[in-house]
Amino acid sequence: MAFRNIMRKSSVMGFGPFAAWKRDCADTDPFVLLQDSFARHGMAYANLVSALARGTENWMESCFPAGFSRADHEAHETLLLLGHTGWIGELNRLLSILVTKQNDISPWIMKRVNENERLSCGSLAASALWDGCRMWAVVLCRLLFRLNTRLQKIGQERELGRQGFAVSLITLQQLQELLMNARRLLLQHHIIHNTLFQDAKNQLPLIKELKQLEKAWGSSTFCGERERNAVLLQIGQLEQWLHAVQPPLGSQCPHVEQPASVQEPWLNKEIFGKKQKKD
Amino acid sequence: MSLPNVPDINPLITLTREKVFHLLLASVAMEEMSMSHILNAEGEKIQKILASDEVSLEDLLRVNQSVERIMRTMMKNQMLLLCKLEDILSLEQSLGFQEHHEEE
Repeated sequence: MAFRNIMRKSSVMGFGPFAAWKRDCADTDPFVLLQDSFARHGMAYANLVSALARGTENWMESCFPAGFSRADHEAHETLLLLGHTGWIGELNRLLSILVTKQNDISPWIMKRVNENERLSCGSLAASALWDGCRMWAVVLCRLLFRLNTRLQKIGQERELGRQGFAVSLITLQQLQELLMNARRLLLQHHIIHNTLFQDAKNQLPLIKELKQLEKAWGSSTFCGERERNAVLLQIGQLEQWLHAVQPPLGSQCPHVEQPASVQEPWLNKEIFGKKQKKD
Repeated sequence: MSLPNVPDINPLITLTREKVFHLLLASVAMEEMSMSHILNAEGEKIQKILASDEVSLEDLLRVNQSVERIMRTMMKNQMLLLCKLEDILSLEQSLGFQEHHEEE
């Protein structure tokens, strides 16, 4: 009530922008409004990422038909596109700021609203973001796989190979950071296993694409062994992280499919295959 | 040459510190909401341009450039907003509005 009175007074006395806004929000606690605005940000990020994923997939389907007749041209185009998706790095920073802000207001939110109110808008946004990020992850893995096969087809062209290595490593690192930020937001809204979106089942396409990418990089000859191992290590870290965030206990979430096994040790077989066999 | 006139604003209102605190928080929320609208518009723009079956590389690159520009501007603004929010929250902690609110 006190807050509504302030808004009423302020609009009369010339706090311009508040006047139009007070009709809808004057009765709401400012912390709840903040929470709502953060949720809207999360949803906007989710829309951005999923739109990028869908657009890139459409482009891949229309521009990369079967066969490798234009391998060098396609590799150039893919490198160009991946170079322009650098805003995922900016998105990562925005997401970490969002997580910090959400964290800052959490103590106040916990005291002022009940559990259901707290979870309603924020949890939907966090789930949508996590879903959008995974969609982008699948498309990116396909794109990197195609880049790898085209570079492999071109052969020992050092400059393109070096670019392909750098772009692959950087985008995979950005992807892991993106998934981790999206996961942090999920955790802040207490949806650890994201049962609403059937987490484990949705993760399978991403793991499958990662395996395919890992296999392709394992047999790559267009770059040096150290570069190849660096990319394989990054893929392995991402795989391990994804395994770690899958629901751990079937009894707690009976409707979510339990993963068959978790790879131990997590490092790629391509690098440490012999060591694994000895063990 | 004449100078622009600034009206003599003398608001006859009394605001307590707690009310000012609420207004400051509301201003952050409003700014956040308006920025989320801009971001959402950018997402809708991508959807519109890239929804067709025949997407060219030029379209994709142009859209990505536009998003990158918006993201960079947004990031700078978000950092300032984060600082503002932290300052406002520390104001509440130092003045103890929380206890006052609970007493009410």
